[in-house]
Amino acid sequence: MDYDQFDADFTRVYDAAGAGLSTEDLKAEIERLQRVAEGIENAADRERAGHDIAMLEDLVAHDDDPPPSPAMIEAFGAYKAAILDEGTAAERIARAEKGIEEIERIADKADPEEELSIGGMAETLHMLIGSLRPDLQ
Amino acid sequence: MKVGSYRELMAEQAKSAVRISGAHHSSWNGRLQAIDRKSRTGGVAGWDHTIQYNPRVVDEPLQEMFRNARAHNQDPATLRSYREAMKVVLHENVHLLAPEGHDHGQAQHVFRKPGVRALEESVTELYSQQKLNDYIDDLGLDQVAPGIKEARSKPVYRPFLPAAQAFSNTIGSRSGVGSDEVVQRLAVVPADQKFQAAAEIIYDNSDLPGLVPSDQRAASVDRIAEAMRPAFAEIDELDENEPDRPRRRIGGESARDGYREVDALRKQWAQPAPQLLQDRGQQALRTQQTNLTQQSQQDRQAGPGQQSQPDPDNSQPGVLVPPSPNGTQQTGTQQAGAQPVGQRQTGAQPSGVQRPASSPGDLDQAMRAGLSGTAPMSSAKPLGTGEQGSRRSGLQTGQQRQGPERES
Repeated sequence: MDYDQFDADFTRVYDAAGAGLSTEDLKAEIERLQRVAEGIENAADRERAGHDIAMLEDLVAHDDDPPPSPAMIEAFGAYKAAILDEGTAAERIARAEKGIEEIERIADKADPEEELSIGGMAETLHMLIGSLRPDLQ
Repeated sequence: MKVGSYRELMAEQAKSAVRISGAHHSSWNGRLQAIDRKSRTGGVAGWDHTIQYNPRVVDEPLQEMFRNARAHNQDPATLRSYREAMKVVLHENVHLLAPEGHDHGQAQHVFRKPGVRALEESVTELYSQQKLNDYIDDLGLDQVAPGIKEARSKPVYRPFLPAAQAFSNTIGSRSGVGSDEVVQRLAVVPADQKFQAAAEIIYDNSDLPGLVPSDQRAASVDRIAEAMRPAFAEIDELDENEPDRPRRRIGGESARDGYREVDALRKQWAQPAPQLLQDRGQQALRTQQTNLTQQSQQDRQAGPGQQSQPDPDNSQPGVLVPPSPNGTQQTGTQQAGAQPVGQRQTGAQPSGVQRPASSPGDLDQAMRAGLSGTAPMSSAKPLGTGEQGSRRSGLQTGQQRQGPERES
């Protein structure tokens, strides 16, 4: 077994992990890949495979983290729309300004404990506007 | 330095950020401005190096904190408001940290680039979370507001953080420097330098410094940095309803792309010279055969008696013929394979990086770099694990280095 063969196997699992593979199935894949990695002849490559597997373990370790709140998800949607990398500088600035308004509206109605963490996302949009403004001159 | 008033705190904010981070300096110009208090944004680090704070979120809670100095048993919501205000202060000051010869404002144009923005904000927030208690200690605020270090605040840029964590964990463990130091080294450079800072960690802790000529380090680091950016930029494209795991996967994948580029560089520079020359001879032969075929087709299309003339400026497209010993430029009629050295690559060329030693000058360069033994270039082979001087194995904690290691 060489590293390239392991890498192809690992990449399939890593992609599947990002596409919704269940925690149980991912744990089973980790165990399987650990057995596969033991068969890699070169010691440096075996160590490298161990680092790869650690990435999968890192994913599993956070599967039980509390998800973002609905308000945070909504704000992130507004943020994504606001940073769309299309159009003229003026159009992009207008989109970012609209995004700031939208994020602040969402922060207004969110749990007070989350108001600042949601509203804080507008900071990037202010900086983006500042980065685009020279193009208007 | 311990501060005793809001005014002192504002005067000391940047110096303290430099102290706890080990950064060379802060880009702050000493000016403060106010954001509309109705806004939900806590602060902004301006490209002109002015800091803007929202009085409702930052100034007023901190003024209140000093009015209530040394009061114990303040309610959790009040302590949280102090802590959140201080996190905004640290966050904006981390944006402004920079190495010698650099400043925050240099990233103004690049900030619009996908990937750059997400890495800047997520690393800045991650670092601000990690170092907030050190900042509070440095400024003596635990004595001003007992309990502030135990209060909890929610993170900003929550959707970006898993990617930044996975990015720094992956590089931290593979390089041996540790995740926290990766975050630190990224935090103290401007937004346009963060992928480069990560690439430097990857490069310097790999076997590449023993393979790549030192004058090719910067270009190689750039290649690693540019390899990582596209994957990280995908975070802006993920559906907002996706759970954390795909975001975390993106951070790891981005770092892994950097290590794939290390593999490519290793293959490029470790290829033994005879094989390299043989490959290039074969490639030159293929190029010449293609040219001859095209020439033949053109001649047939041109008809009898109308043979096209070779272009004297480009008789061998893509082949740079080295000067002959007597100094005259040889023509493209020589036997391909007999003069592959010095061939200019026509295919996709890695940006900014020279090909491995392929000319006598390059061989000299490689030998000067100490890469060759008695048989130049034939000794340039992948090093065994035990020979890889700078490559660390396992989860070692790297020695804490003071300040960024940027070349100005």
